[in-house]
Amino acid sequence: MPTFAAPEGGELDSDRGPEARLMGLVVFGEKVAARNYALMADLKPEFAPILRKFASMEGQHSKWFREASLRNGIEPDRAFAEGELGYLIEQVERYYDDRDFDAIAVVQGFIVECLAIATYEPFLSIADRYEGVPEIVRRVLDEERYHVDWVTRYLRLRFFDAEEEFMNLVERVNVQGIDCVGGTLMNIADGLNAVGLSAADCTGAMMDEYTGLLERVGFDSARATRNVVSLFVPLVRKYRHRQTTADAQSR
Amino acid sequence: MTPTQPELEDLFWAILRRFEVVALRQYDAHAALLATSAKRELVSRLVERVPQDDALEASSLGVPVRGLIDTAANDDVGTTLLVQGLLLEHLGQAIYASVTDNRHVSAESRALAASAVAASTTVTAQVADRIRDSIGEGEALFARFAEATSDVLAGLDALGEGVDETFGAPFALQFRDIVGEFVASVIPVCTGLGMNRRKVVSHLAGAFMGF
Repeated sequence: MPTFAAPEGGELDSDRGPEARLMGLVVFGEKVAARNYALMADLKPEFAPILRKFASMEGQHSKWFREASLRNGIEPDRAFAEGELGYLIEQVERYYDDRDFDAIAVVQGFIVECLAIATYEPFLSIADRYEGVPEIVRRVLDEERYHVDWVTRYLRLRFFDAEEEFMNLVERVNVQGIDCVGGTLMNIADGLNAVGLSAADCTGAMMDEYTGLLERVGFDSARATRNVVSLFVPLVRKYRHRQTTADAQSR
Repeated sequence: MTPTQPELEDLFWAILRRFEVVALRQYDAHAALLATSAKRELVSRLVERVPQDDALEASSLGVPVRGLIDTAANDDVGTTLLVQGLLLEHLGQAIYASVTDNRHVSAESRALAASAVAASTTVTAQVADRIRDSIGEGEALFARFAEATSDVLAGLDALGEGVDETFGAPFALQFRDIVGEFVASVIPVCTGLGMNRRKVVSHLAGAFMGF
């Protein structure tokens, strides 16, 4: 089990904005994931033991990443992360109030986990720059895939022989969920590029992971691709508009 | 002034005629097997249906269409196969398919769109083999594909905005659905040619985003 201590009197570099924002999202995002699994456990007592275990694992991820971040002189930017993920928290709270377990399962098990996997996987290629981080990322990636596996199996059985019902659920949840999480990915695109990752690779990875999950639950490949791509096109357009405006203002 | 439905349909076909004329010219110059008789007949029908570009040039779509056609125009076999034969043919099929069963357009346009899908299929049925013969497969092909298609993909989004503004409400047509259909049909061809699916998806996403 990797353990890290925050530096005693260590230097935190205030110029490391992109890294601070990314780590803010990672640390806070893992906490949000822990809360989502805890809410799911409340809604379905029959699955409470495994879902509480997932919640505990996600909380541990947050702690590991925060400690590793501080150890490398990066203070996670919590305010940025709260601004980005507030929309998602509100969406999950609404589903919780409606006792809509399946909707939270899609938000957490598919959308949030996909974003995590899509950023952690490419991050491994540059993780060596940060002391102690590669082993955390590898461990966390394995555990996120374990969570996704459970959610995928649950949804596959829950919607066995009910593909249209599942499609309706996914489309309903995706409209807001992908807009938030995919939008966050667009918002951190410059930061990803700044730290040596490729925003295009992360976006492609998220789209591909998400498509793969829909396929595993029972969608045919073309339908899954159409669904995911059509959700991302408006986000990409928003991103390009923002870039065009920023470029014009910098001239 | 809001265009009438027939004017909108004329504009729709004027755009596609521009693309189809250039595609056939490229096939004639660089990939004769793709200049099929069905494609040639489609181009003749489109030229006959919309002989002038005036309405297109006067519309907000004139500039992005011209930009995309200029970007897609090329002077070699490989780029013709990858850009025209693979990318734009599949995009065209997605556009035509959005009209084939669309009750918001005339029966004449639906029938023409169905013929266009059939004509395009005579090209795409052969293009993978032609690409394999001329360029190869796998990683080397992906590198060539990425290089040849980046600018064209980046230009698509500019066209997409105009398409949504112009045809979105009257045709009940959304560019994002067309792109979804297009990507869903291109990816299996790419993976069938030995390209890595994740890399293809990342390339498409990155190019659309302008990276």
